[in-house]
Amino acid sequence: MPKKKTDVLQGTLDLMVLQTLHALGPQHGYGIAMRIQQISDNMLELNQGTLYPALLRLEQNGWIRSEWGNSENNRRARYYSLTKTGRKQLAEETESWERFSGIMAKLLSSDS
Amino acid sequence: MPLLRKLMATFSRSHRDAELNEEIESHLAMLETAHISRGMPPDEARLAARRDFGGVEPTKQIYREQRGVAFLENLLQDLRLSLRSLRKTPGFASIAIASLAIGIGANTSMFSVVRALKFRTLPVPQPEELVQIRSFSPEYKTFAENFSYPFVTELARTQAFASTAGMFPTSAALYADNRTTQAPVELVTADYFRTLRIRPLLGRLLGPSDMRHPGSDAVCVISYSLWQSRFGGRSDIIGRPIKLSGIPFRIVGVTQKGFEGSVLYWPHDIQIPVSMTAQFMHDFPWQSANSTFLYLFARRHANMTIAATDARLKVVGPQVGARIRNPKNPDQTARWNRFSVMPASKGPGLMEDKSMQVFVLSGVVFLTLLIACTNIAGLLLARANSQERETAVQISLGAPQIRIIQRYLVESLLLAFLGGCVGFVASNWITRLFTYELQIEYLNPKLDVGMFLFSLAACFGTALMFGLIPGWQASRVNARFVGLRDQGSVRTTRRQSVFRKTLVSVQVALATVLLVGCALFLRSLQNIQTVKLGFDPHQVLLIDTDPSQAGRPEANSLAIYRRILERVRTLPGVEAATLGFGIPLSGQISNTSFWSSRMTSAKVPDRINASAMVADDFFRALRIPMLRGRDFNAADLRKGQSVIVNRAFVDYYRLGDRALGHRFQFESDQPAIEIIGIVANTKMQSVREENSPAMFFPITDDSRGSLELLVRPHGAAASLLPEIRRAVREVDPQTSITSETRLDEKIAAQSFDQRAIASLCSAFSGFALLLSCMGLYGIAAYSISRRTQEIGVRVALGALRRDVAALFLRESCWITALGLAAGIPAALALASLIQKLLFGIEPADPTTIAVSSVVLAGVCLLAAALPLRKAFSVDPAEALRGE
Repeated sequence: MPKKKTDVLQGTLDLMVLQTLHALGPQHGYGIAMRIQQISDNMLELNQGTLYPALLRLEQNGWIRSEWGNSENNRRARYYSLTKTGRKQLAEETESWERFSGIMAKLLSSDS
Repeated sequence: MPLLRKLMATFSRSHRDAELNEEIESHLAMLETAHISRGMPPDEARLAARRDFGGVEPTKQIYREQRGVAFLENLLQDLRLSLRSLRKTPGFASIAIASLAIGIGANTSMFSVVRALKFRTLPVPQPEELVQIRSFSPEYKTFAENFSYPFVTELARTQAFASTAGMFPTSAALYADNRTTQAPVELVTADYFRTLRIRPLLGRLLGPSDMRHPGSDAVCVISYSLWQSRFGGRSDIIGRPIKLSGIPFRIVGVTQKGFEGSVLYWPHDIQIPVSMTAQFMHDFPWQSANSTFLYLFARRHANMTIAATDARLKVVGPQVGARIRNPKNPDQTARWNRFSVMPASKGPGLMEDKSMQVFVLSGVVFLTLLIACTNIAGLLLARANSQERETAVQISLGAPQIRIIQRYLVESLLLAFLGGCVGFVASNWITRLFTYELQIEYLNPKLDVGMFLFSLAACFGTALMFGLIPGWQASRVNARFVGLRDQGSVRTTRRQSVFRKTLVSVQVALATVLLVGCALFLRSLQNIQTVKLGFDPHQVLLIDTDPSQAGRPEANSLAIYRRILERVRTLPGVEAATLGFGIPLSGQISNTSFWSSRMTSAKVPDRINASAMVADDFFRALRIPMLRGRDFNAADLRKGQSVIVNRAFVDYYRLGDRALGHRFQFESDQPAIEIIGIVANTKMQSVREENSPAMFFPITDDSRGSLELLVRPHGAAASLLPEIRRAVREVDPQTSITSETRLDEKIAAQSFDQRAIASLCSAFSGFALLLSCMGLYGIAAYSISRRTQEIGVRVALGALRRDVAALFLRESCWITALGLAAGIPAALALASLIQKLLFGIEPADPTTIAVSSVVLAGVCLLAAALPLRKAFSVDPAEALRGE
């Protein structure tokens, strides 16, 4: 049976991007999109274009910064990287996500 | 520089859009390449890439919205924070806003007034075509503005101008509706209205036909404002009979609204034909070529430039002069034969040129604006420094550089905006103050938008520059190196602090210039008010009456005047009473001229001498010392063959010991006149004049025209007035009093210009001083607040407060001293420009400069010492503890 594709939950895209940048280091938009798709085994229904407003928002909040550089095949691309604040934000959001999912799991598994 | 690029990108939308496009293209290309490498054909690969990406346009749209919204959100947040922080430091905020308001408001209103004064022209079509004609005598090196009636008419015939007009300003008692009031009147030639090209509102205007019968069928034209104010705008005004100085006239026209005569700041409400001059002015020979009494102006041909008109006049002028030459004195024309034209869009230039005063006032206001700007700069720099710690905290928490700069920018702009608003309101008030002081309400100056925007831009620019630079500097600080704990070690670069102190020195220098200027004007004013007049005007009453109305022949006026004089002399409160025309400094001008050769054998240039017609006891009434000879007696007052002159007259005409008893003739066919008395010099027509020759003629049985009653009371003038009124009524019930003034008050009013400038300058100097004090206070307060701990330690260790104070004041002393050192030479340099406005004082007057410097230094040091009081009041133990 083909696996069902899951929609990206609102608000979690930020966390995904931050984590990706943390894991991969500076990356351009295509790279981030590929990484997310790869990790999720292509199960995530991601419109790659939606990355860009998200990246802008993250940059406006000061969690990531961007710089123009050359990509692997010598193409001009914009590279994003985590800032110190971003690192902090990632840690906080990871923690609250884990807490939240833990509570949800408990809730859903309880029968009574 | 990445920062700059970021800044630019923030504000350049298309640039950002282009970048996004590039990024998306790059992404799509990479997707395409991936698909191709997996074996898809290129076109399919491209489509697949697009599918993977999702909608490009929607993405761009969401992106743009996100960017826009975020910018707005940030902006609002910055605004809110700025407002809050301004409210937390009300002192800083109010001083900054006040400085801005003063700079913007004062500047704007000054320029509104200047504009109204300078650029207003006569309310006639094509005022730039109007010119005034003058003649110049190379021998005497002066200009003459007055010409004779034959000259005017002959000049008109040469067609050198489109039309030519002559005008003589005077005033008359206007009798209508059983009331008599004074009204300013212009005697005008035939083409006066044609030259001005104005139209009548009602009826008609004067023209050549009205000049045809000299002395009879007198018609006149009145102004719109007179029609409204004096005649209540009544609809039957045309044809209405009135009396001017006892002579019956008929009103034939009302001029258009806004026209008040041919001279801009000197309204004349009535125009009458010059053919009535003889009746009006004591049988004055107005048709004689010797009577140069008319101001001459003309409208040049539209197709001739001023230069061409001037050239033409230089040719025809002497020709006309030769044609009307007085055969008895042919040299006259030769002496005054250099003619020239001057643009006269404000009318013939009779008024004293106010442009000098206006220039000075503008300079004053500009200086104030400069001081205000330096104040703002200093304040903003100090504030940025005090906020450095807060900024450092923000940076260490990860705020991007651009946000920090934005924060500073928003706060500076907010200040500038608030200052601009207050300044706008203030400028309305200040404009009203100016127009009241200069008494030009009728000009109704409108707010000069250009100047407002300029001042606003200047202040905005200053706020921007001095808000941005420290903001940028602060945002570059590496947060690691900023000691966040210890209040004292927030780093101020030495360069910054020197810059701020220099700013305050500059302020002090500018304030010095203003203060010295103000002091000079104040002393000049004092001089004018205490100048020796040569007579005593205190409590002296001037009473104008009009006995010539109600159809009485002129001869009876004199009889009535004499009876009034007799009666008033019997009043107990009267010390002395007399009659006169051309009483010194009363505003009534009377002149005599004759060829010097008739007076003396010494070769002296001809001149116009001030003169007056007086009754007996005149000199005693005004307390003018009689140096030699005697006053007029009854015989003199009947026959009029005597004259009294002043010392300057004797000296000018080199009469020496022969003066008393000297006899001369004005014209060879007239009886000889004898000098029977010599009096001390007095000012005659202006307080500022040098002592000039004057002649006093007796009022004789032949005298015509209006005379003023001059009364010196024993005590106060006010108490005598009701009795004088009763006396006049008893002598002749039909004679009414048209004005009652005090001579000393009238004279005081003449120094109005000086007073206006002095008071306005004082106001601005006050502002400047205040601003400088604020600047100094700010600097001192800042440096002291940073070292409160140090002060506490010193005091705790037993240092005398006096010594600690001296330590801190030394810095302020240096700043003030430097400011004075720069300001005094600047003040001297500028003062030499205003020399013409000063009276009785040199621009480099050492006392003035010394006093101003001391005052400035004192006030500044006081301002610097104030924060110390606060510092000393802090408990030393607390200070030691630190924050």
